[in-house]
Amino acid sequence: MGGYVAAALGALGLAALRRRPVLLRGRTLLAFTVLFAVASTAASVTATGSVPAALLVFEVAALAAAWGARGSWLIVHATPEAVGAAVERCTRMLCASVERAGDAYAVPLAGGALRLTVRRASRQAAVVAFAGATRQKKAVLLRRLLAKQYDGVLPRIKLGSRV
Amino acid sequence: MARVEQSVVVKCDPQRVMEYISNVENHPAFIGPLKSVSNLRGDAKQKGTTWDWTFVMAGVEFAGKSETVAYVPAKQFSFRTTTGIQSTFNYRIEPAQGGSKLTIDVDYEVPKDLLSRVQTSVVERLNDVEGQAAVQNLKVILDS
Repeated sequence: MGGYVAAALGALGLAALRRRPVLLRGRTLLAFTVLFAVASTAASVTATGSVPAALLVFEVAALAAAWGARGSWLIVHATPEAVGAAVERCTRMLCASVERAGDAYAVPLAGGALRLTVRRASRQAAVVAFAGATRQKKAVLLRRLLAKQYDGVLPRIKLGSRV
Repeated sequence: MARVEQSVVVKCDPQRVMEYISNVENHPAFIGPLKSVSNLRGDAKQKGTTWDWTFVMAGVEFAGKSETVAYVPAKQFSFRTTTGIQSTFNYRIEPAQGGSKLTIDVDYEVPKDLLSRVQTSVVERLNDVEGQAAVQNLKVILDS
């Protein structure tokens, strides 16, 4: 349990240390949580032949939270206004239109609209939630393009001329 | 030098396709490994116009500069990278089936640093897949 909390806080800490906006995906948290639940259950059964109730409760709570976050992104070092501007810019790059109402953005697509909600998570972070036609091909492209606007938690090897 | 060539037919007139393609700031929308285009200095339709780019290949981020080589309205747009990965991108458009046939060919040099990590053939296969994905992405963007 301590390892799980340390890893989650470590990812947040690394993101906070970066200078550029960093994207943390809910889907990655879900995958990590499933791995944690499987590994910790297996380790407990191997060692003691049973799973402590406290661990089970923690696993269920962590899985429920990660499941709820699977369709969301946390963007550290970005305001909702900056993320909203990126959504509008990326939508234009895909020859699509976007309608904004407060913190909600709707992108009309063939077969339904992709709906995004951009909310403030803290002074230095925003949460983006995706709903609606998320599997539509242009919606997938928009998601990928939006993700390119942000760095990952771990820095990449960088080569070539920098500006 | 390695080469990738891919074609696709889109339900869009050649002028509109060329308008989209020749706006190089749109390229990250359909080229998966292209992370960003920045510092566009002038109109990319003009020969000699330059811009900066960041490309991600096999987990490594390459940055460099490009410049326009040729622009023929509704027919051709070519540019070459002048630093980083050495390559020439050539986009050709012709009317087809009530829309346009778009052909992309890219000649590129596999970076030596990358070669130490990944075999050339793997990189080439990867880029064939990326080339196919790029034209399919263009179809998604321009068809609707």
